[in-house]
Amino acid sequence: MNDKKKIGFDILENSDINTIEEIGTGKMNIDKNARERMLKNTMNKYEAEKKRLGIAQDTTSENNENADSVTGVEVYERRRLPHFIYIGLCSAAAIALTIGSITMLNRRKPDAPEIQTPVAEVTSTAATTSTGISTTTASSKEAVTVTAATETSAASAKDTTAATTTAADSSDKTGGDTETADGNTPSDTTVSAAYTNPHTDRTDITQEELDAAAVRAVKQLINYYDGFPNVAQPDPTLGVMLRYAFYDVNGDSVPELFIRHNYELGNAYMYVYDGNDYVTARFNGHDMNGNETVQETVLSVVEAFSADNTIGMMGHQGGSQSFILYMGDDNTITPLYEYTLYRSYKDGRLSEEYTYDGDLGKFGEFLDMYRSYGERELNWIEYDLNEK
Amino acid sequence: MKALTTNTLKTNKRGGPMTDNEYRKMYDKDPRKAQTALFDEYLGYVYAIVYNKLRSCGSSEDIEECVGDVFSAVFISYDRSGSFDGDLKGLIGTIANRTAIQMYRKLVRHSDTVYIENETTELADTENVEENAERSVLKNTLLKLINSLGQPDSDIIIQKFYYNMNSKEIADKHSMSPASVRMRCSRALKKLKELLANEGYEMKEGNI
Repeated sequence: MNDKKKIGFDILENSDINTIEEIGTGKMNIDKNARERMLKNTMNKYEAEKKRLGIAQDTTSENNENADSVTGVEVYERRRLPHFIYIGLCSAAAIALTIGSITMLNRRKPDAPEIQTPVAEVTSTAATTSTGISTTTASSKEAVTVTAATETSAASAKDTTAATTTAADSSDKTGGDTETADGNTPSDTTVSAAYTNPHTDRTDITQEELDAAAVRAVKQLINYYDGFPNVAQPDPTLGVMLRYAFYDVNGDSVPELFIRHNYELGNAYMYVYDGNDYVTARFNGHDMNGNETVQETVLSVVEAFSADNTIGMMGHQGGSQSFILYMGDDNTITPLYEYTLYRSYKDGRLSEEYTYDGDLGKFGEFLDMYRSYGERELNWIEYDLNEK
Repeated sequence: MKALTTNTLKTNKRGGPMTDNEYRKMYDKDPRKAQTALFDEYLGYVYAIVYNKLRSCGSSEDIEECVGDVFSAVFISYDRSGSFDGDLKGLIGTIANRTAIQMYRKLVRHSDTVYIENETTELADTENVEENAERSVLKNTLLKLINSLGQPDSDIIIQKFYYNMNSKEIADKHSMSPASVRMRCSRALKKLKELLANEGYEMKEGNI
């Protein structure tokens, strides 16, 4: 019998200050952005607390352009006007947002039937490219579907949607991102259009089928990464976790698949179900240079919001790019808000351009809006990385 | 992402941490500059204390929030009394500890949770004393053995298992590749297990 005492790193938890110093305060890895965030937060709290306590000491530096401002009543008078304007602006913004949302939703409804038009384009593109591009099983699947769609001229919306699904799926498998973008984006517009993702109208989908598809997607993801600790290389010391969850973002009765893992810097994903498999969802967004590009729903954070039909995506440390996206009933995805270090976009249009957002001030504004959508708790399923 | 070296408690001319007196002089010239200097000097220290208290229940946002509360309280403390009563580091440590405990209580919503070493009002019974003594021995043993691994393995082990950094973050700090970090970590952990076994201990499953 083993009579050795058990010991773990949890013994270091809740240590006293001396032990913490022994562990090493210099071992912390606080990056520059985190430092700036905390300093800004500290100063905000400090100023608020000072005001609350009535401490009138002036702590502004010579770098502050308000260093010569006087204290006392005049300070309050000076602040009252900006505060008033601020409230006015907030109210105006709230009204504008409400009107904008209503307008957007009103415009969205009539758009639904018009999806048939790009669908036709996609299917015809698929039909022409299927002869020239590849001879894989994916392309033959396309051909069958396209034939079915053309044979029955009075094809229902269901059939045409299925055709789109297969076409988009095939581009997924052949890696032709830009081809699909051309098929979905009106070429003469400057605004990001809704991206039509694969979709299915099947009503006989079972949870077992979705479970199996989710596991296939997870395994495909694991195989994508060299060195991801899988069956071949079990190494629990790495502490890698992978989990997934189902959630029906757009209320079409077919749940989307969310995956998260912490390998390397970690990533998150959202997939849509095409009737056979969970495939990467895409949307028309903008890159750091301001070019419109097809982007995948893959980033450090990809999460379903509490607000209906919306998802959020965020880079590391609020890094390079973050998005708030709208997902239509037919799996179309439209960017509502986009943030990059140089530009912000609203409804696919450039809303603001700025020099490098080094202090993440613009990101802070975006983050406030992002948080207002509210994160939705999902029921995560831990994937056993040692599972065969 | 560039990481700051937070081992910064050595910034004055004497090579020691910033003192009460030095802060006052700097503050008289430019309060905001003095506050920023103090923040930079003690950020690692405060973050480590707060992290230690909240790691089991708080997110990184909670920890950052709490760090902000601590420094705000430190600045207010000076504004109100005009000094830090000599021991600046001691005062910051105490404020950090108490603020983190308050945040912990808020997060876990168990107002009766007690940190024994900080609550002098709690009368320690014999059982607590024994338990604390045993924990203290275990802590010291573990730290001694981790330190005996030498640099950079001791740092890697602490960063991996105490500060929960991933291989990429550790790699950035040590100018290594993530693969090298994983390899070193795996070997160091194996060595640590052997050292613990020699001392009559066995590593808990969750830490292997």
